[in-house]
Amino acid sequence: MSFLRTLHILCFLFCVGCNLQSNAQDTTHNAVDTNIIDSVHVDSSKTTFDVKPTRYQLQKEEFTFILYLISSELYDDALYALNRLNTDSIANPNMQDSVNYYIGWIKYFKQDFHGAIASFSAVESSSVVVASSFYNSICYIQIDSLAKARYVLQNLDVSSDAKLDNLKILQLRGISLLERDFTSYDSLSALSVERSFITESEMNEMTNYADLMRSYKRKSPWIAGLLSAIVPGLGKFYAGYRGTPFGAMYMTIPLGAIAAESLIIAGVASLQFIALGALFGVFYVGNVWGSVLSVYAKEQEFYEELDHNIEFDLHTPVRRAFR
Amino acid sequence: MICILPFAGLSASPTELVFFRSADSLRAAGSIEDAIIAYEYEAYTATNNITRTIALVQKADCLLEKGRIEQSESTLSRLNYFGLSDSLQYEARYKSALYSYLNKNFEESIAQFKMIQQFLPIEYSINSKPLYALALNETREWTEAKEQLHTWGKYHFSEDTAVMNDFNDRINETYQVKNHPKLKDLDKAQVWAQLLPGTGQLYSGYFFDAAFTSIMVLSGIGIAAYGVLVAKYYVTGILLGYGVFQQFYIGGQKRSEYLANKRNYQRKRAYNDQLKGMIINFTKNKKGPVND
Repeated sequence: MSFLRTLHILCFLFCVGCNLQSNAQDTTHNAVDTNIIDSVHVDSSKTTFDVKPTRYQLQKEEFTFILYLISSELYDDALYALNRLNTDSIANPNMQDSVNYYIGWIKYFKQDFHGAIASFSAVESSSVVVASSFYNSICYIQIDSLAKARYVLQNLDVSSDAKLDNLKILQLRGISLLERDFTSYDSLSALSVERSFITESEMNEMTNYADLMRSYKRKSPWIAGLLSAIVPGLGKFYAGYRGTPFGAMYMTIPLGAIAAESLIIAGVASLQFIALGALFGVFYVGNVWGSVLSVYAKEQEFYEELDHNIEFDLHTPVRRAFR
Repeated sequence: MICILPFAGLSASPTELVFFRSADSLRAAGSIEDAIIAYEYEAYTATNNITRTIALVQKADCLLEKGRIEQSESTLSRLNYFGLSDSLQYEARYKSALYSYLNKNFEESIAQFKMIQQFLPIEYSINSKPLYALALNETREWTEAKEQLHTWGKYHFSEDTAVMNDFNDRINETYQVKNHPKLKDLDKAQVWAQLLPGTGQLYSGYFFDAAFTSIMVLSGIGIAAYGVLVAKYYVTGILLGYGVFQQFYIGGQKRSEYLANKRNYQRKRAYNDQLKGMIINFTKNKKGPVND
């Protein structure tokens, strides 16, 4: 009987010891997951614990479940669970960083870039800090904060990893192009980088985009205006539009014909001609002015399309690298 | 149903683990969002398909409660029916069909009903037939819907011949081919609109629309004729007249097609709503048909 009692006391002390050890790990913010005594096991219908689990163990179990939600593409559920977990005081800094990272990633995936930036910025020191910085930079690019995107990358030290260094240079090159800073782009292009499957095709694309930007020559707004003054709509055709010139033609030429007819029949001083002539004049001048502006609009469209392609080519390798 | 989920109320000390709640109790307490996650957790930790199925069905119910019908449907699309009892399989498949129906995914709903017919005994599949008929109505398979209702009626009203005959008569009468909505031919509406502006709309039953189009097209011709023949403003007359004519002639063709579509939808909706009312009345009172 006394033997059993002793055994019982020993078992109790062992359990208390396990708890104390786990608590100590919580309080000392031990970053290594594998150091935790994992006394959690799952049976057929419920999760039970052999000993009273620590908060960290429970949070770890919960986090594992959240990873399952993410891998199952149940993003709404995962975000809800992550936010619930985040409201709890997470003692382990690694886990806190992971929670922030995944909240950021889901928000990024849902295109809530401001929310994603807040979460990625909260990542402090764990293994996900590099991925967070890259995603943070992408999010800043998406909200047109290019200086902040550049700042995030410049403060990121990945010199020990050639692939990530390559990725960082690609991102910086992309940002330079988005800023139209060709000096910075050229200095980054001059850096020798290792070939990497993560960035190779996008690096080539950046070179193409840079060449396209450099070779682009805006059409003359004067010529566009002059052409439209001669034949309504022709200036827009010259600017590069192929559909809208005909729309301008269909409106302006018939109006001109009607005004001309009223001039011939009713005379220059007639009210009819004055009204129709004024109407035609408004359309005619508007068309000429529109052709002048169309040159700038076409230029803007050209750069917007390139910017869109650059942003896409900056996203892809980051997702490839941190899949 | 036991599920311990490390979520609700978890705070500073492990001694507060008592706050761990089961999915069912979360749901009963009105914490539906928490219950949704808790049921998913239950499915995640389940080591057999039965527990997993029950959890996912409950999760789908919670999602429906929150008005997330699409997610309800997608949750049930994750079910694996292997190894389930007939009753559980029926419940899962029926809810899957119902949520697809509510999500207006009628083809998927019908597919699920066909599975019920194929894999489950008649005692189960018979009760799904009214909803099956409703889904078939939506895809305009009225003849098949009628057959399904006859089978259902035969099962429920067989003890009383008079009631069954009455039921069959009502079904036959309502589902008569001559009662099926006469749907407008979109091509025909467009051809009519091309031949004689306004008749396309008239074909679909929109008289004022037809009259307006006709008047505007005639006005275009009138402006041209007046300009050329009376006012001697040839260019103005032709250009203005052609402008008005062309806008309403081309626009009338597109509008004819749109109105034919609208009319088809209205007729189908009205007929299906009538059928829906009748079917719901029958199912409410299985002893016999009631007046609509």
